[in-house]
Amino acid sequence: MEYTMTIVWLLAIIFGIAIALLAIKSLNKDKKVRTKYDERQLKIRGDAFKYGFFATLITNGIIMALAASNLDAFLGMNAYFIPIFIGVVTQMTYSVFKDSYFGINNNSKGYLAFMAFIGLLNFAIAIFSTIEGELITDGVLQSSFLNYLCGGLFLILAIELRIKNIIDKKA
Amino acid sequence: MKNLKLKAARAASDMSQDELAKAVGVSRQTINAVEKGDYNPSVNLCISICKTLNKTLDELFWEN
Repeated sequence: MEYTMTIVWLLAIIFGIAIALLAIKSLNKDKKVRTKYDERQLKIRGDAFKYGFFATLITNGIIMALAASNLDAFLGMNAYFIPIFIGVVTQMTYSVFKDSYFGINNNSKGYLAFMAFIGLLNFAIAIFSTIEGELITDGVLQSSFLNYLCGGLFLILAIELRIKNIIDKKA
Repeated sequence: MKNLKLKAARAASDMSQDELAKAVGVSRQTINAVEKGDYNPSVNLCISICKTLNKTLDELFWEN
């Protein structure tokens, strides 16, 4: 069926969102889905999203400029996700170092444990794909590279939170 | 500019930054930022802090 992969992707996205919402609801201190931020955090998160937006645009521009080169052909469909990854990392980094990543009602330790699990799961899938020779096919990076990006995202978050913790203790 | 009056009032009430933050509904880091002078709170937040510490706006947030 020609729409099979599209349906599979849509179901995977819906399933992922459902799992995320369930996790957020169970991990928040007030058992609500919505994360609460105070006024300072909201302002900083607004700035963080702005910087993330521009980082996404710039990265997208760079990839478009590479459109005629072999690198663009190598990236395949991952070219769509790398700018999003850069934007998310930018927003996340700014929020973490300005104490605005976790909200007032977040159970930060629970979140970290959940994110560690998701990150490790993604790395496991990515490494398995690499071992099976499915990472690069016909000279094109395959979608299993996204698992490296997801795992990398959570690894970056863990490192940033650790650095922030060290900075706060020294202050 | 540091808000030493706020810090003193909080200490006089025997409250930690975390306790004051929970009482007014903000994060501990926000109270810390207000005391250090890194963040200018809104009037609503100022009023919440004053009510919690039983002080007036002038006593905590007006420059001498």
